[in-house]
Amino acid sequence: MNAPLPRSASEQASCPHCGTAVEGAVDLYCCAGCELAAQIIEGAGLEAYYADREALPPRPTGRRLDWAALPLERCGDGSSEVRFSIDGLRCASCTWVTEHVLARTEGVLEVHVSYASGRATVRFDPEVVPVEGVVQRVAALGYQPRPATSESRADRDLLVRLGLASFVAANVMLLSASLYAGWLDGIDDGFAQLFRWTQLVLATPAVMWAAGPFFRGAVQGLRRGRLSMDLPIAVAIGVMFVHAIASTLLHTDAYLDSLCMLIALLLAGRFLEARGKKSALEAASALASRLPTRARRRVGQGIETVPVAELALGDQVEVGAGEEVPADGRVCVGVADVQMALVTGEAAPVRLHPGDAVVAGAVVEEGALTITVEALADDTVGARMARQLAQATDRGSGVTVADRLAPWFVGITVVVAGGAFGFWWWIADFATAMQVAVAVLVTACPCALGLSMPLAAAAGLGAAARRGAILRSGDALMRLAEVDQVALDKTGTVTGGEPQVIAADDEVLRVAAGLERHSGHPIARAIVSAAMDRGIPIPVGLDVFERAGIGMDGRIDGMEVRIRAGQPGQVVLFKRVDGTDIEWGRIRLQDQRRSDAAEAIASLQRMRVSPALLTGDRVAVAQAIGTEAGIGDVLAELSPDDKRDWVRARQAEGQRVLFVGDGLNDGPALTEAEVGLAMGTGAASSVLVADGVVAQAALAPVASAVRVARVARVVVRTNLVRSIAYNILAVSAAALGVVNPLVAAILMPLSSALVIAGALGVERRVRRLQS
Amino acid sequence: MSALYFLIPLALALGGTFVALFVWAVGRGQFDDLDDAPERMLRDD
Repeated sequence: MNAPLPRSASEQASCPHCGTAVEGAVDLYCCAGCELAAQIIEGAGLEAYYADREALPPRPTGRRLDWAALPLERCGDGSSEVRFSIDGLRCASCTWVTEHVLARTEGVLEVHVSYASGRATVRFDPEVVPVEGVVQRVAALGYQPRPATSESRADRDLLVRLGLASFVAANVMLLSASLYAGWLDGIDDGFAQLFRWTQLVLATPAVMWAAGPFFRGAVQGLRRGRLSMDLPIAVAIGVMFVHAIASTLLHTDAYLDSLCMLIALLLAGRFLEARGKKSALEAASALASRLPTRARRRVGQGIETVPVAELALGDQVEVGAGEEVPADGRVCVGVADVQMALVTGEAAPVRLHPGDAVVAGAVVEEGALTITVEALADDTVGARMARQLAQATDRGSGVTVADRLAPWFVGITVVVAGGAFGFWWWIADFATAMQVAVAVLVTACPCALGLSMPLAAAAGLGAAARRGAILRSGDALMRLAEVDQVALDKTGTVTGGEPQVIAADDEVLRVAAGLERHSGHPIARAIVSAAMDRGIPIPVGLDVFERAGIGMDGRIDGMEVRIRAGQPGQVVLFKRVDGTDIEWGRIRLQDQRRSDAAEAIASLQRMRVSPALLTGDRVAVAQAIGTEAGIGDVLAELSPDDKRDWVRARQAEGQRVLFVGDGLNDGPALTEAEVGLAMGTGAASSVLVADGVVAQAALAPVASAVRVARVARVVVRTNLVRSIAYNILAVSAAALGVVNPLVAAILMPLSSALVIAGALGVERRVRRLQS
Repeated sequence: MSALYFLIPLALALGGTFVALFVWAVGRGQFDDLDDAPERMLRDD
């Protein structure tokens, strides 16, 4: 996207900053926001941004920001540091220009914006620039700062354990190579002991510290009576280490290389699993709205600004245009257009009058309200949703198939080891019997088994995320593989959620777009994008005035025009001639089904998942959309509880349901179903309670997610079979006295490699199924 | 070959130093964002 060259009057020009079409000979900026952003960029000497960028940036909105919610840290030298995330960074150039504009801002000492995550860390001198100055700069460029999710420290802990275990494993294996070479050529006992003692010294921190999670898990499992794979793993590690101490003292070789490799591999599996969960959580909170932390309260004759935490029931708060409502309540004075996307998922603002209810987090678009507070902090709808989120993530770590096998594992291993010990003691001697028993316990270690689930889950979650579906946990992925019924909400899920132009004359559309370009209303957006799609240059409007909830007035081509709402689904364009308004044209709009809806539904049906459409809307509209999308089972005029009851009824019949929705009214059904997917474009509250998010404005990710889940399930099963087969073979070999440290050193990595290869195959298999 | 009796403990000490440095680096947040550095490298600053 280069800076535009001068054009002739008849060609279409575009705003040099955001690329929206603008009619005219000179390259005008489409709005004051873009002009300001361009001035900032050029003022900082960063014009290279326009030449290098690969995507168009968002238009600056002029929304007011709640910068008090951003955590501030005082540094030793008197400077302050603020961390926040930035939304809307569309390509690397956006990140580059934001970082550099901030760096050249007066008072900013150090700034770092991550190219990967969009997280910003800014150190500044609060005497020169307040934190709002820093944040406003980012907003002026058109991006949205928001509080960042807190970083998880558990990740770092796991990484250090993994790092140490890998270091130890590599060095121990190196020393083992010398020792095994010694079996062939002979080795001086002095050196052999040196190597063995070094191995033991190296292995000690790995066993005593790095492998901690496995011992803790085993102990917890024993205490609660719920055994997991940690128990056989902990037993194997313990046995190998004790055997190693004894062997070293007796001048014979131990299993230290297998032990250390085992610890490193299992930790690697856990680390990958943790990373997968972290990115899912990050995606979910990026889409969830933040609640405001300050409010303007009426006190006597005046207004004071207080933290939301200090509000009391019955307080009256003022909320103006562009601000967010701080608490649940009822309108007491004023009329305004309020957008409640947080709970309804609908971008279209609703006109509220005194007596109407309003929710914390709603945004006042036009007008001003005085609201009486009826529910605070922990009681607000938003806070309740956040608590449900916390509970939902706990539910995510369920008992895996591998864990259920654990008791059997331990039991069979002990029996075989005991049997082998007894047998060899009878036909040979005690020492040999001990060797064999240890060999059995070592080879029985469920390394491959413990790896198969996390690796396949991590691979599956990654494959799904690449296709637009971000699931919260491997558990959700496995449940998704089992579904045979999918229920979809209509508005915002099967349809786009916003109206689109379905019929209009080009000329009418052109004039309407000239007016609507100045409004953020969904109807306005629909008209402007329809004009751009048709390649119609959008004229410059003069004296354009938006009347909240009524329409637009303005002057186009010297003619006075107005837009008003007509019958449902229509807007009417009036021309003012001789003092009276004459109807000049109509534009019909409708919420259209998504372009890939029919294909996605067909895909799901091919995978033997039956679709159904559930909506609160009228029967006729629902049937029409259902037919277009290819869904035969259509249920309309349902309440949120009706939707949930329908899900329960299907489950009672033995079906497993996937529910896809986007608004607060889908919450009950989303949590009741086996798997709930929330449209990322929908209400933040539905995102919070769902098992996963569709991160695109499309339905294809739903079908892709099911496909990936099925492949992942197959891979997990294959891996389980391979792991168990390996264990049977290896334990048999050990019981027969064939296994010694060298043999183990070869066998165990082989089994792990098989499982890893299986997990890597997930992406390949999904691609083959798609074509 | 008797040099090994000296070299191996030396190698352990050296290796241990690097592990300590690794732990320090993780503590300072160096490994938190591994995708940022490769992108940053490609920019002309």
